[in-house]
Amino acid sequence: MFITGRGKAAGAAAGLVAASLLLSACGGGGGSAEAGSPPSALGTPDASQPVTITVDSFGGIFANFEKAGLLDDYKELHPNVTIEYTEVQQEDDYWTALTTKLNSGSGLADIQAIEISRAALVTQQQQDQWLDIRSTAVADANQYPPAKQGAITTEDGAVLGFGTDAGPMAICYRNDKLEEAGLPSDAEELSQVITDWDAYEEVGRQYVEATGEPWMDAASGYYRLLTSVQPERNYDAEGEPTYETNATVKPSFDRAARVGAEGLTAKLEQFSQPWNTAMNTGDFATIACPAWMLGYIKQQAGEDNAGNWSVMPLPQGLGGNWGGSYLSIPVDSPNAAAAAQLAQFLTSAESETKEFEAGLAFPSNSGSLEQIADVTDEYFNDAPIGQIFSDSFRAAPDQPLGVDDGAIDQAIGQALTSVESNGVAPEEAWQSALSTLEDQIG
Amino acid sequence: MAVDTLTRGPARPAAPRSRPARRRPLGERSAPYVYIAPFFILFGAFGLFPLLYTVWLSFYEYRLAGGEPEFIGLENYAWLFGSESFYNALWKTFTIGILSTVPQLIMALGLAHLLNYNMRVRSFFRISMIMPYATSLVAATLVFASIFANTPGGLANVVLGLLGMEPVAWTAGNWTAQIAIAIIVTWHWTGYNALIYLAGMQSIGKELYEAAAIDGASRFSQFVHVTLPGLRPTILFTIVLSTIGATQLFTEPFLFGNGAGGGALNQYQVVAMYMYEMAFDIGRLGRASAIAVVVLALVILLVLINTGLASLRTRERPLPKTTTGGTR
Repeated sequence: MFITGRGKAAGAAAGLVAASLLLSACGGGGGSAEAGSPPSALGTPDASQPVTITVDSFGGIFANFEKAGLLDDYKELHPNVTIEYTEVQQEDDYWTALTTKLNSGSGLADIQAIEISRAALVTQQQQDQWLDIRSTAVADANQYPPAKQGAITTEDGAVLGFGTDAGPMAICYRNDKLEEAGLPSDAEELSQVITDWDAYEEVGRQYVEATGEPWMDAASGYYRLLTSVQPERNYDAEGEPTYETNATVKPSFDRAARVGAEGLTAKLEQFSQPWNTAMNTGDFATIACPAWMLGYIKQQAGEDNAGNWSVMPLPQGLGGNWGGSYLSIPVDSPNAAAAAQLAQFLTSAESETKEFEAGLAFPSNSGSLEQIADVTDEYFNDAPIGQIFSDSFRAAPDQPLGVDDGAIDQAIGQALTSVESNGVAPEEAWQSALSTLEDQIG
Repeated sequence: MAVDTLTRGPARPAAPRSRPARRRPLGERSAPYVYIAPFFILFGAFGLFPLLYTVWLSFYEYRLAGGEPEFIGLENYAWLFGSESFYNALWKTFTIGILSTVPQLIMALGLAHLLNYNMRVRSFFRISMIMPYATSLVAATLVFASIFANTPGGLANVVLGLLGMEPVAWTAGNWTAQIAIAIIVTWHWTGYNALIYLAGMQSIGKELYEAAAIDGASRFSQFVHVTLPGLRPTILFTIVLSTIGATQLFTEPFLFGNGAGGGALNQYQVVAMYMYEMAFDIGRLGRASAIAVVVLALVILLVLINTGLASLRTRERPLPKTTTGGTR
């Protein structure tokens, strides 16, 4: 699966939250002046009435809010509010339960977390069931880069969620292994050598020749990286699936398959146990690295490897995104106004900055991206992670998402694995991915 | 239905003497229904309803993400019988089923036979038989997944190395993955079946074994000529159970790899995983329901074939009453 391992972000240091933004947001009044007319305007919630806001979430999103002290901050500002959250680890399980509740129309919380890979389903098949945040009193309080905002916006312009974290792309690498292989190990020097994907692969060939060990973890990871920077992936702007013919999917598949067939990859399935272990042992030297991968690497590689891993930006100033979530409010929530106020607070620039500085999730709020430019990470050789990931996120294209993205990515990932591990010819693997998709979603 | 047999049953409490017994009060007449109600309410809610709903859903297009079910007749079935992946999944279910069930039952028989003899610490051996069955399947599968790691350092590959063989990429290969999964299944169920056989063996009269021993029969011929015939109904029972189990196999292959795809070439995607993939990865609940219905029909068919075969065999056993000759 491609959607695992979310909510494990990285960072360092600590910060303070500014309550001023929240206060100004409360005074914003109802509705917004943007295009399209919001269905109904929600006013500012009554601050004198006690209210309990329920939350359903996954993957540590709210646990991170709590760790960063944001829930306590909010209760201090709003003594009338009680927050009750439940959280499961696996997004798959969470989504299945959420759709069941949506279908039966009962059991929904006031705030529900949504993973970006489900955003197309939310905006195209459930758009009537989620609150348009343009109708709330906090409509314009948060600003996001196009990739973040576009994914949760419907055809009619309704915005169905507040952006929490994000997964901008970079490349993580083992500087100790590169040094052993006689290659540049400093991020700046390496960036000067790796000027495009061809150069990235060429350095890989040198590495494999010098060490006899694989360069990257998996062809499917490389495919994810290659496609994340393109303006379109599986769908075009009209919402039609174009993966068979467009300029992203097949060329990226060919490139990743060639690298896999060539033996530059470690043939590991992402998020499998051997893959985890390899982060520690250095069985591969580089990996496509969304911001949340930093936390994952730290956890798997452990303290012994502090200073062995580094981060470099994508070549050519490219940017991409993999993962991230939203906070959405069911349209029938009895506490919608209060829930919107809380969700806006948790995803405000100040809150997201505070969270990132506490070493938790990477922000998606534009304001916060400005504030974190100086953050570095000691574990990753003091890499300027704030700068690298903010730049990548701002440059990330607003890719049109589709309801069957998950199935398409899975089938193509599987085809790439068959090239790497089973020696299937790339063209044959591509054809079998297409016929699988024809069978599954056709 | 069981309801009829129960309510028509003759057992009823005598009417209180103080009242004329012309017509018993409503409360009393409904009492049996009330007694059986808990089971049937639970069965209806958690057994019958999901079953009927699945059948109903298999005629509809219905997505996990939401929306109203849309009637499409037999389209889901037409899709299913035209789907190559479905036939692949059926075939994998069959091959893994054979690879696991046959050695499992044969080993269980052998073990039960040995355990049936008097020996020291017999209870210890009997209890250790059931240990794999009592172990959490999920935990065990994860341990086996690391035993069958693709790296040369995996335990299974180390053992192969000691035998002078090359390391094997267990999960990547077609048969290697299936064999590894069959080994997990066999490990888990052998002891369970052995205990069932053991129970069956204990009902075979000791005097038969004693007579055989006096006649000079070895333990093996005792097994073939006394144990096996006496165990026939038990063996049939375990075959039926194993067939159902093999058709519904899910946990072991699901956890063996990474998700419901069953390997890069679907080399160990059994039919239950295909159903799961369709329902929860692809989100097409109508199609997944159609798969469920077909699998149910398949299980029923297999069980009927099993019992049919068995009754054919047993009918051959007794001597024919007439002298017109046997079936052979």
